[in-house]
Amino acid sequence: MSDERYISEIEDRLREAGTPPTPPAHLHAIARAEALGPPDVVNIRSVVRPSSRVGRLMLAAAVLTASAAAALVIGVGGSGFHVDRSVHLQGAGAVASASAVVDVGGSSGGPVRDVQVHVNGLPPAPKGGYYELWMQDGSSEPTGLVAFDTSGTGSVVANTTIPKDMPWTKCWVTLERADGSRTTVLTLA
Amino acid sequence: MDLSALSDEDLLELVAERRDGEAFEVLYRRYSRAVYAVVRRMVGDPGRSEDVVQEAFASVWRAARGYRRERGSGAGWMFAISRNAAADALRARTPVAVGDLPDQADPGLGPEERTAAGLEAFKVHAAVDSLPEREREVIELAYFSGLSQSEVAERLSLPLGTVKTRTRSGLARLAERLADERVVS
Repeated sequence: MSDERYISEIEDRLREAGTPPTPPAHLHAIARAEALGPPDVVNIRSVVRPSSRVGRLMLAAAVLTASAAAALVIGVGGSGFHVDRSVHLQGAGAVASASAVVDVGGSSGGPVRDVQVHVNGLPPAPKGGYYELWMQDGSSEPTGLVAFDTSGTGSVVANTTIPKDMPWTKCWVTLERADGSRTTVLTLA
Repeated sequence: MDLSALSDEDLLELVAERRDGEAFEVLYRRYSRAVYAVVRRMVGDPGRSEDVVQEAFASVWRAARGYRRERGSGAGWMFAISRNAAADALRARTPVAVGDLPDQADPGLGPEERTAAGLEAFKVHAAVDSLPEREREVIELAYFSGLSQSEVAERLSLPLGTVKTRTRSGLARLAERLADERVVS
């Protein structure tokens, strides 16, 4: 077949096939978890936000150590976790294909709620950096909830807690670099 | 090893034999839109379609050991998995009330023609999603969004010549893949 003819045939097939609908970003994480089981789990209950560069490097090292250790406990996340509310985050800028689901649990009568963030498609943070989940209500100061890093597959589940009555309307994830700079990488979808 | 360069058949064998999560990820990236398109067309409801897509990919993971490349292409197998998952969901749906039945037969394609057309579109969508990113974006803008090559160049801030080169290269790659799948001669 001549070049022109085969190109014309391919063009016809493309037009006949039409534009496929794009599956929602969060479906990747759900389908992956359904097939492969939950991704690595990182548990860091409190976030210390150091002001110095050395402090940031130390925190990043701690996060990476926790990530490595978490590889040994794949599959333990989520047991007994009752989801009260879920929000979906979508990647921005260079990580537009990344996504996350933030599950907020019920208070079960206690003073706190469990929060579990399922991240997918987010490359590991640059050396000395880490990711941080934030929540904010209106004009109040943002609250950093959990620092984490992702595995080589770009996935991780990070766990933390928030006060039972903590109000919040916004939620996002930032990349905190070793030089102190910050970029928002995931925002509400 | 760059798994994205592997064929569907090789990826399915990695999933089957080594339970390779990375191979599964590549299959998901290559087929998620094609599977979602088939399921949406059959099931309709977006929320229900998400459940079916989730089940379809879980089936790929579970059933990959049953795939035999001598019996057909990986794309055909993935299509069958998707249709079966959607059909299962439709079977579970509450029957349509008699009063809702149409008065006339559907003048469109018959069931076999629909299946053939669906399989062809499925293979085309998967082939597009297997292209390198820089070729895929120009192909999609030109043929799915209907932009002219000049408009594609402007949208992507690329020289027109680059757009033409990438388009031609992408079409050639699609031709090769779709010929393997017997979608084109």
